[in-house]
Amino acid sequence: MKLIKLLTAGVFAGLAVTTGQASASVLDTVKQRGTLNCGTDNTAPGFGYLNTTTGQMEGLDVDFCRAVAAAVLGDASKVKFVTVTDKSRFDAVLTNQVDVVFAHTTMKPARESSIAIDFLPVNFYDGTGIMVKTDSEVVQFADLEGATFCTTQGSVTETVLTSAFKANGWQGSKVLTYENLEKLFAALNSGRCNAMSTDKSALAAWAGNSPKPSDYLILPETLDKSPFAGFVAANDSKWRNALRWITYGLFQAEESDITQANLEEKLKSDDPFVQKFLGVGGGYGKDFGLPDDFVAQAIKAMGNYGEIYARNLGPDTSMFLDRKGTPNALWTEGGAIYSPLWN
Amino acid sequence: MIARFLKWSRHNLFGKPFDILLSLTVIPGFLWLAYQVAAWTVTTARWEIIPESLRILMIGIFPAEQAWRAWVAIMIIAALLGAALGCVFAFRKRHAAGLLLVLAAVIALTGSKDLTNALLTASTIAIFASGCAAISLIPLLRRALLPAGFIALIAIFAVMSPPGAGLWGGLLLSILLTLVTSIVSLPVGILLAFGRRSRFSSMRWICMGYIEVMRSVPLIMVVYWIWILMPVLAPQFGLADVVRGMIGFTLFYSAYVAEYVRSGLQAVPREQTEAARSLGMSEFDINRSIVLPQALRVAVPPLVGNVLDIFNTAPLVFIIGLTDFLRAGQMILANPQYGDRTYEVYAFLFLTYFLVGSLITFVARRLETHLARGNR
Repeated sequence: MKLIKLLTAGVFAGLAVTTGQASASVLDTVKQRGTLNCGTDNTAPGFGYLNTTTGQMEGLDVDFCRAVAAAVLGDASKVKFVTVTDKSRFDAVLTNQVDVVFAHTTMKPARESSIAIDFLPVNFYDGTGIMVKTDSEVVQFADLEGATFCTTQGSVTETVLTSAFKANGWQGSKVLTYENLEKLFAALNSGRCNAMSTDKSALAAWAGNSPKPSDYLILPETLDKSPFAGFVAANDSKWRNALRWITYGLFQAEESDITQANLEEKLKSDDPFVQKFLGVGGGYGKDFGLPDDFVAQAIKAMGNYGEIYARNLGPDTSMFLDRKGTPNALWTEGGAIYSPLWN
Repeated sequence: MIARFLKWSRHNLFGKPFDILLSLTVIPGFLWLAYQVAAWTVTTARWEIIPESLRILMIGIFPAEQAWRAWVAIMIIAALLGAALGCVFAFRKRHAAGLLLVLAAVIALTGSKDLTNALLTASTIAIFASGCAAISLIPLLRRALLPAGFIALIAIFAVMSPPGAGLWGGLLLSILLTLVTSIVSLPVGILLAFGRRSRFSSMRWICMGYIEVMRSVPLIMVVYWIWILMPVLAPQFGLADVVRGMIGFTLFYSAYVAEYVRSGLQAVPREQTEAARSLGMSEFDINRSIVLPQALRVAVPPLVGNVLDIFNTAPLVFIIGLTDFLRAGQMILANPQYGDRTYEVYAFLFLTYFLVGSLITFVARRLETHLARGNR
């Protein structure tokens, strides 16, 4: 399967590159078509999820699709969501079935060097985390020497944990694997494991949805980084740049305190930076091939990055992911969400 | 009564030492298991997740305000399946009485919560039964079944397409995929089977190569390859994921159908062909009226088994991002709020797969006895 996948990826990367150069940028195609074909997952709550009660797509990745549609086409509803899986997401963009993919994809060197895709700015920083029960009085990873860790079967977490043991020279620590997160959580509760290890975003959701969230503590350490980013087919700078600056626009809007609610007010602002940023009387959009008010359109439809985050992952949602003290906070608050200079 | 039961059990359950041993281990074990399952079903399980997410399980991400389209499609499918059942199942008056009872039960049980859906469900069952009754009571209609199947498929596509074929999902997608694949692969498979016996060696080689290649690769690979190849080879068509999935399934299962049909063709004695030829019949007429009817009689039971195969492999379309019945269930479980309902959701999935699967095996078994009648 791996060989076949590599072969397919190679063949279609080649095809995509040759056809891509001959034809126009995806940006022009999207504008001509009038809809954005956006690849997302539909089974990842908080990121790309089809809410089974409302029947609506929701999540951080989904809202990024909508923000892009609003910025490029002026209408957040002009998105066609195409479900992609972990297996099909790269081929989907290489064969032009989708214009862009936002599907909680970890940015890795091999993915850009051998699959002919280009990543967009990171829009969420995940990583392997550890959760313990509060009454165990463990407060940091170093307290867990000799402990039993639990994780899911066949995940990379197992390797991450064993290499962390090796790095620390721990002999007695061992890893138990379980079939799914539900069983993992039950094992932590029954005391079969001292610590539960998986993606931090999942840990917060499981603790938050339990009857008593204060029983659990997620340790501050991140064992393995996992930055999520959207991606497009390689060698289309026009499209990629437009998407990059839409993303940065959402970051900058939060930094400049421009929200969905106060946008009307800010549009009347005398501040020359805000005026130009929002495209009042000439902005940055034209040279990207976008409307001048593309940032304003995206904010009007979906809000700034902070609002998108709070709506889908924040403490008020069933994901219970507080940004404070994580890389997902703005750089002004010690996080890693950073937009380059706009002027 | 009790005496008869005791006699029966002595004969069947406690006849020989080995029987006694087997009965003593299996019966209590089975009773214990049944008790555990029943106890869990009634006390522990929290079933409210099933009615809450029933729409997702049945039609997936199909927009709720367009649900009438799905209902029309479901009713057409019900009529078609009922008609297929009617071919092998004699519809009698007592069945009509039982049917009325079922309809009353459906409306009584679910009507209080959601009357529209209860009535729609009831009418779907009624359509299923009338399809069954019509075919069973008027045998002449059977000749029209295959063309009617094609027309039904076109009608379903027409009614389901407007919101976008990418939105098809749930059990409806699994059943549609099974129907399309089994109906379309039948003529393709028959042609391939004849091609493999053709007088022209080029034709023979092409058909044999196709069948052997398709039978020696996994289905999931065929589906995935079709999914990525179509937009590269024919970008102007822009076929929806679901259509590409159906094409992949049809291409794959045609090869299997061809082999089942070939086994039927080989079962027709050579003398039949020779006799027909000596009567001056054309090659086409020989195949159509002499060989094929007899071949299909042999091939139909495994072909119905093939339908079951298709239905059970339908979840593989998850690889191209389609939300079939199984994935819809997993989608519900992916929500951390519902994460602890694994057993409830999978029990429901199991039960539904089991019901549809047993309906298909029932038809297959009836067909076998039905067709064997002529050979007695």
